[in-house]
Amino acid sequence: MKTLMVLAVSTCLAWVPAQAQSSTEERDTQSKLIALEQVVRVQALPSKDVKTLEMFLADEFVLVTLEGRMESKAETFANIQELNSLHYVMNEVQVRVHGSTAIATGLFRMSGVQRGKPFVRQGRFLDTWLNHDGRWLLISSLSTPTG
Amino acid sequence: MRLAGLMLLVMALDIAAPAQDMADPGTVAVIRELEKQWTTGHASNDNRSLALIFDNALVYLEYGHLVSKGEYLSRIKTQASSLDRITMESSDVRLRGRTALVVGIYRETQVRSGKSTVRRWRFVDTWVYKTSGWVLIAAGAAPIEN
Repeated sequence: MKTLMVLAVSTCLAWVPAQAQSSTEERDTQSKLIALEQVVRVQALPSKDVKTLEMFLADEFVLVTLEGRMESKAETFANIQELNSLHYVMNEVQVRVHGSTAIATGLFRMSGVQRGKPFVRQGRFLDTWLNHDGRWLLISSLSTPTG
Repeated sequence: MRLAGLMLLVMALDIAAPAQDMADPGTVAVIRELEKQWTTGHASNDNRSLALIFDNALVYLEYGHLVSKGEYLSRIKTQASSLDRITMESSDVRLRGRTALVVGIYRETQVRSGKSTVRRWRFVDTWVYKTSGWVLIAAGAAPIEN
């Protein structure tokens, strides 16, 4: 009985440091995912770096574009190849972590040339990331126009 | 003594929870039912029932703006229920462990000053299984251009 009481008390005492550790882990995850957003959107996308995108986009990845179109991973990669040039800027990126799932939001502005036609678009994105065997993978991305 | 028993029970439940299989067809039905509850709750200004299925850290992306759970629920409480109508056109539930994505299209009918407008939206909703059950953690929609 004494053992049970000791176990109960030590479990209670361990609660506070565990919570503190949890928020540190959460901050680490937030920093990691903000960096991954930078890698995917600002670096890999403009440079058509499919190899890097392949690493971070889940096979079942689904994209909802600013125009409300839905694209699979393969369709997204095909459309990236049609870009002649792309300049991508993002800001106000925030990440909320829910265990092995995380939601990233932010503002973006992209300009460039696609199939010979210049374009400028801006909006807000909402990404869902999933931790699979220690690796964060992007499973969905939705963009919606601002203003 | 009771505390010790309770602590052991809590620990045992915590270990048992991850073993639940979230990929069964029943989970898809649960998610569809929650989506239906959301639409019904929205239409009937029932922000109490919506509060139960929305996570406290919910992110709702609407017309390019981020809306929190509190902001969404306050608006639902005050808006006239007859003005907006949401009709689901299609939806696909994709399960991945304790995470469920719902991707689909809905039609929004708005009545302003006696004039009715219809707009179609493509949406992505993200549900996560937590200790209280499935809760909505994120939702967003993009207007479908013709």
